Amino acid sequence: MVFNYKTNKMKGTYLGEFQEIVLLVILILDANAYGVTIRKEMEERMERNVNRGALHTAFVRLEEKGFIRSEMGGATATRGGRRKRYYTVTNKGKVVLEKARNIREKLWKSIPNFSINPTGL
Amino acid sequence: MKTNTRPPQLWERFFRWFCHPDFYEELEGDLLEHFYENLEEQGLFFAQKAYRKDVLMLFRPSVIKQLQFTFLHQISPDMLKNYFKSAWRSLFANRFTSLLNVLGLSLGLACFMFILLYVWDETHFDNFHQKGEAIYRVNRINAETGEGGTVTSYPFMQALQASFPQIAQMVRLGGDGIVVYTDDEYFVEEGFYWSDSTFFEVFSFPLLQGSAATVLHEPNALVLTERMAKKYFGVQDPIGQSLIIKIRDAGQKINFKVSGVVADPPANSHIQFNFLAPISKSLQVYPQFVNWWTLNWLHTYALVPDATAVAAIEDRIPALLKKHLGEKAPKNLTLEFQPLSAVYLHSDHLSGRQLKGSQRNVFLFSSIALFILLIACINFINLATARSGKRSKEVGVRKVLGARRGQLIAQFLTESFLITAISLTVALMAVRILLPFFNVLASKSLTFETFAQSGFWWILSALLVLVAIVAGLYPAFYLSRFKPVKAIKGIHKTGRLQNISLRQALVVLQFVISVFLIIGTLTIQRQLKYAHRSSLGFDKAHLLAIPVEDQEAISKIGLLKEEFGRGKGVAEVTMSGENLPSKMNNNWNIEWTGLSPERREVANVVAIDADYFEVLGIPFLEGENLRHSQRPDSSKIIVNQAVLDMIGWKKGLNRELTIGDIKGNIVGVVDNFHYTSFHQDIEPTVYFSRSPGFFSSPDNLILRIDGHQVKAALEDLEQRWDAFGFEQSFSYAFVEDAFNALYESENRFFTLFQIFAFLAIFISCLGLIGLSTFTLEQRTKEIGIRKILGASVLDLSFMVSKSFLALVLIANVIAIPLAYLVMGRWLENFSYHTNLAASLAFTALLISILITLLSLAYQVFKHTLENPVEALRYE
Repeated sequence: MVFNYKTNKMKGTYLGEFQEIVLLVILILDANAYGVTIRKEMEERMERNVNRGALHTAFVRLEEKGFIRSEMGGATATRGGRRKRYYTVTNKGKVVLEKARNIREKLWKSIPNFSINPTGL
Repeated sequence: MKTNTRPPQLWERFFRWFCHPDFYEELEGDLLEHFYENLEEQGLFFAQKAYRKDVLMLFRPSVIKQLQFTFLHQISPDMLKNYFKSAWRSLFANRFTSLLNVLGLSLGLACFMFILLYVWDETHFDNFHQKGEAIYRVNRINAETGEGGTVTSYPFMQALQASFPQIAQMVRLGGDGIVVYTDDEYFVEEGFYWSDSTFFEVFSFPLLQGSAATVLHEPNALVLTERMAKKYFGVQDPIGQSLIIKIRDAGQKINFKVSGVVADPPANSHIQFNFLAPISKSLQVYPQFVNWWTLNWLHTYALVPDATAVAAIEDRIPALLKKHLGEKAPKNLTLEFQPLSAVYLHSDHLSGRQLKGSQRNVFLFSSIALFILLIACINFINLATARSGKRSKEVGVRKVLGARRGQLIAQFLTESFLITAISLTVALMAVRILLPFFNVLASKSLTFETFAQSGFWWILSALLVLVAIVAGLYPAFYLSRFKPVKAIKGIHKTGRLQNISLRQALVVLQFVISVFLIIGTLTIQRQLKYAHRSSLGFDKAHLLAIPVEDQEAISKIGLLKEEFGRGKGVAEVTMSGENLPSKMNNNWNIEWTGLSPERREVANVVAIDADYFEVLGIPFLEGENLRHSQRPDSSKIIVNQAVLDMIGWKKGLNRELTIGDIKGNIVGVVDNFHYTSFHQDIEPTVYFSRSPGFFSSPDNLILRIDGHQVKAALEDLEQRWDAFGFEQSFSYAFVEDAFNALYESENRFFTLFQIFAFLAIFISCLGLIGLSTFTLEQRTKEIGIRKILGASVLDLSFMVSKSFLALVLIANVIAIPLAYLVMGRWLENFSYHTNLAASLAFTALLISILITLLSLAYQVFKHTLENPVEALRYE
């Protein structure tokens, strides 16, 4: 029996919800998307705490799937001389993002009667 | 931004350690950026708190470096083939070391297996009974002290069964001495038990003939074991045949009819028997037993299916006893329901004749087994790491060719696995061959078939894996750490401080264990010699003890004594109710004026005659001996010092005591003497004279023989005995031999301990030899140069052995106090023990130094005698 290495598992093209938001935020931040900024932006917009480790895992997965690309650059004194890793969304990532958006819009449109009842239910 | 405030350093280091190098830079940067932001906005304390939280958040599988466990990924069938090939070749390439390794490891594993078998046997006693989990032995114990005896009396069973419906069934086993009569001969047999008809329903002793429900129903029924059936009936079918058996204590002959044959009880059963007869029949023989609550002579067992009910039953026992015994019920008497699984090993608090093992011994031997295994593993580790010099080039080349660290680790682990597997095989063979010898030593009947039990194979496989990993892990990690460039260049850091210390620490550990075992051995030897040589308190030279068991003979014991007194070479004769060594079968309640009502005491009683103390040579502390008279006067008693100590009297002369139903006046006090094993306490004992006819009456004759005429005396005595025409044949024992036999189990334990200690030390020496070989090889150049500069062989030898001797010295310093502590505690277990002299420490020190020098000798001389030219030529 041959063991499957964990590193190159093909997870297909599935885009999880968290990962989708990460992609969007990277696009929002445009040229200034790296760990610290992405996280801050997500926390502000989603109004909840983002687990640093989960975020990093998402980066790794997205990069494995080919949806984002990263490159090192820009060390500052505040970072003790450590460079940042900038992320950008690839074309493949944009394609899959748009697909997800279309599916969602279609779902919304298919709802017959959507109204929020102030008194519950 | 303040530059002198930093995130918590420990956490920084922690993160640096676990973070995968690929992301380390950016993540550290992110952490720092966040930290300094927080520092500005919310201050140092908050910033540091947030940093710790961040680090923890990043402690995830995707971030943590994979290094440690990559070797698991390297286990694919193709690689395995290569690993085994490499392992095999490397074993052959280093034949000497491999041999040492295999030898040491096999020895260690073999010892471990022997001890495992022993411990397995001891802890798996009585495990074959189907209803075993619900079976309990009912012991009589003192509610306060928790001590007691295993025997109970006849009426208990009915009383218990009537009052407690939770008890499903009960069965009793009462031993009796018998003589079996065939047409022309008679045999005195042991292992005859009266039992209830429920015996085969409670216990799982397979019946070869006869059915469990009915085999003990008939009043004259008799169940034989296989070996007895073969002995008395050969190949004939014994069922329906009659067997005439005399019950010695009652003097009655009974014609039994064989109703069943049972398989011989297995060796790991605490219940051993040869004959079983219905207990209802015993009432015909001993009708007085029916209501005799205080005559405790049988073992009672209960089957209680509901385990939770046992405690409730035990609580209600005192009330039950009060109901049946009324005011005569001894205070603090209660019953304990001892689970069957605890009977063999956990009966130290119970007195009485029983087959029992020692939990302490089991524990001791298990520890020794672990120690030996540990030493063997340490050897392996030391040898492997010491060898590292030779293998650094190999590691370097492999790495250059693309081997990842995980692969190297996997390869080295395969090597250790291979060595362990080979050692295990060798060990198994050794165990198979040597098992009979071990059985003799440990007086057990262990079979190799025990290995066939499934539990055992699991243990062995686990052992293989465990030892391979424990011994192989550190060397594997250590060896795979070498940097290729440096390795190939030949720069091998043998001088790295940590590695040398570890190796030295391991050697010290080995020798600590060895020295500990040496001192242990010496202590035990000392104690045994002390026990052997110490005076028992009476003169045991040329003392003969003749047991008189036949009823007729007992009634005529006075005549026997006279007759023997006239025998050739017989200096003196006396009679006693107890043999020497004494089992003290009779203990009666003892009372005296001033005894507080809650307190109950018992004392041993021994029936004697007026010559007893003279023959034995026991001094009187007070008063005088009994007078010779025709009619024994039991109102005149002699007590030993222990009685006075128990009561609290300074002087005992002329005081009054009530012992059992005898009101006695103390006419003499004797000094305490050891009537049984030296290691046991001397209990309060009361001596008086008694006429035949009681259970406690004299049934032993003790004679002092002239040392020069022993053989003639024995022949003469036998003739005189036979002249009486008793049914019992003449038998005798030398008191000295009997006492020595008492120490047999201790001697056996000691021999085993010695052997294992020796083996442990031997394995340590093997390790030392291997280690010294390589250390010396490292220093060949140095030795060569020193020789040229004029050092003598002796100088060099000393210089080279210095480091090892230092290690041994350190080991001694650690081990000696430790050993003294442990052995001191062990000695206190004995009521009479020797002390731990300083000579023990010196001897141990000397021995360990000697052993070290011997192990080093060959290697040291070989290297120091070498021609320095040869040594320096290697470049």
